Amino acid sequence: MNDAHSNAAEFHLLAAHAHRTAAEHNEKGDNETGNWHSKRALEYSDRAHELAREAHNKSGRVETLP
Amino acid sequence: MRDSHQIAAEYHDLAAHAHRLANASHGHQDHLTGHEHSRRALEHSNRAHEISEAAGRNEPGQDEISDPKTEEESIMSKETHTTAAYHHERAAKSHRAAAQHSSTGAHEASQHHAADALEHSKRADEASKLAHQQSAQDAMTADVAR
Repeated sequence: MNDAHSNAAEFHLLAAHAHRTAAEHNEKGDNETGNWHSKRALEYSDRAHELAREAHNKSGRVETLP
Repeated sequence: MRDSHQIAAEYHDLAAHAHRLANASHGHQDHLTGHEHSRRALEHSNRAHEISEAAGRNEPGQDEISDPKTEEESIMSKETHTTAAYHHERAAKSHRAAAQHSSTGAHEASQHHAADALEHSKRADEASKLAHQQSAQDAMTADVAR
């Protein structure tokens, strides 16, 4: 279960980093590069959210074990 | 080229709109969003003030004043990404807390953090989708302009 949460955290941080990079490029008016980083951010986000659901399900299972 | 006073007026309108959004967000206890709208309101207000002063002094180079609509799009895009990054970082923090409590056998605390993590993750995912829509739209606008 620890691994599930650690993996989810890792992908959330990757998504956050990609979003911050996209924001920097948008601020400079480099929208094409900003969009490229935005796509990466969305991919990391999808994976992070999937892992978050898995981790939460595993947490629930540990709680209900006798 | 539009008159600089007209542009200043548009920035004032944007500032007023951002203040209304900030008030509405605070009313719904969404203080993070409220703070962002409040910050944008201040940025718009400062910009309006600068343009008003320059127009009053009849300074040359007024044609270099940017269109607030284009600038607004750029600010929005930057801020949606910053908001998404914030939610992802909150989710990561909750996941790490869940993992830490789980490793010490504190399953109840771990489950609490896991629930928080999932909530932040949902908000982060929604924010990511919104930020990407905004970026894709900006990139398309830039492409058409070329």
